[in-house]
Amino acid sequence: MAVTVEQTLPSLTLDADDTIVDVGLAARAVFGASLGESVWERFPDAKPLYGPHYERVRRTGEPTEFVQFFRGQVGWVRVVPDDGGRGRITLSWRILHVLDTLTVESLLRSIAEAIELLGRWDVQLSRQRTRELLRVIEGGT
Amino acid sequence: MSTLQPELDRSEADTTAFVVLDADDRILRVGPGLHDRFGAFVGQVLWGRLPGAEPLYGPHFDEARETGRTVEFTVYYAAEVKRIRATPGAEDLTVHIWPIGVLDVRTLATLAESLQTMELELSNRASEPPGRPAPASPRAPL
Repeated sequence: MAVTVEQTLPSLTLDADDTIVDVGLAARAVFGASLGESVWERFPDAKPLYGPHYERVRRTGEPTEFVQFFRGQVGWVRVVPDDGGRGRITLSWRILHVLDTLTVESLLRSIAEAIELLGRWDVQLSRQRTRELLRVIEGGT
Repeated sequence: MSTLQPELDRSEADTTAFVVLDADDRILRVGPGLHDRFGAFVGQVLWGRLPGAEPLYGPHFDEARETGRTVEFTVYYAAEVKRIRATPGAEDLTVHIWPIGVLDVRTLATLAESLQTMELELSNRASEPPGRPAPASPRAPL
């Protein structure tokens, strides 16, 4: 279930203002031209979905991962604070599911798959966070 | 495209958005309104350009040919709800296509809203008498 972060995953680095300051090799075809732009200019409707995760990583300094439905796709996203600091974060992602919108039947089947996938990942990530929390607690005692 | 297109009544509709098919659903001619989409495929069978669409459209086309009467129907295909009018001619079938709305897949919330609107649109249209002109409706999320 867990997605292994590989060098081949697409990635972006954002500064504290969510401006794209670096684009990983695998993301260059799509995001190369967006270097220097705010990620929200490119995806304004994504801010309420992704922004809170980015802010939490900046605030806590802890990496996070989540799954999100956006623009017909279910994507896994990992957000890590960038070594350079100053509020920089690096995102990497993988598309887990693309909605099949061809016919009503395929759409409904695909939505059910997407929802099931989101549920499974929520459970998985929740367990993972709990395990990490337990490790922190155990380490502290 | 993220919201329902305003529905087009007959006076506003793009009457050039049509294809003319032969008895085997091969594209004979394309109206200017669909030239970008189908112009390059004259001579090809329509279904080759619209995978999975034949079971949705085909029976209505057959009905128009068999009865010799214009058939109108509303269909969901490829993230769009469309109103289709199939008019039989002596040896061909003219198919007008009016887009009604586009599925909004930005977020789960917009998708859910879209599905509700789409369901309403399709059920309303299913209960309409055949051939009734499509009334104008306000822009709404599909």
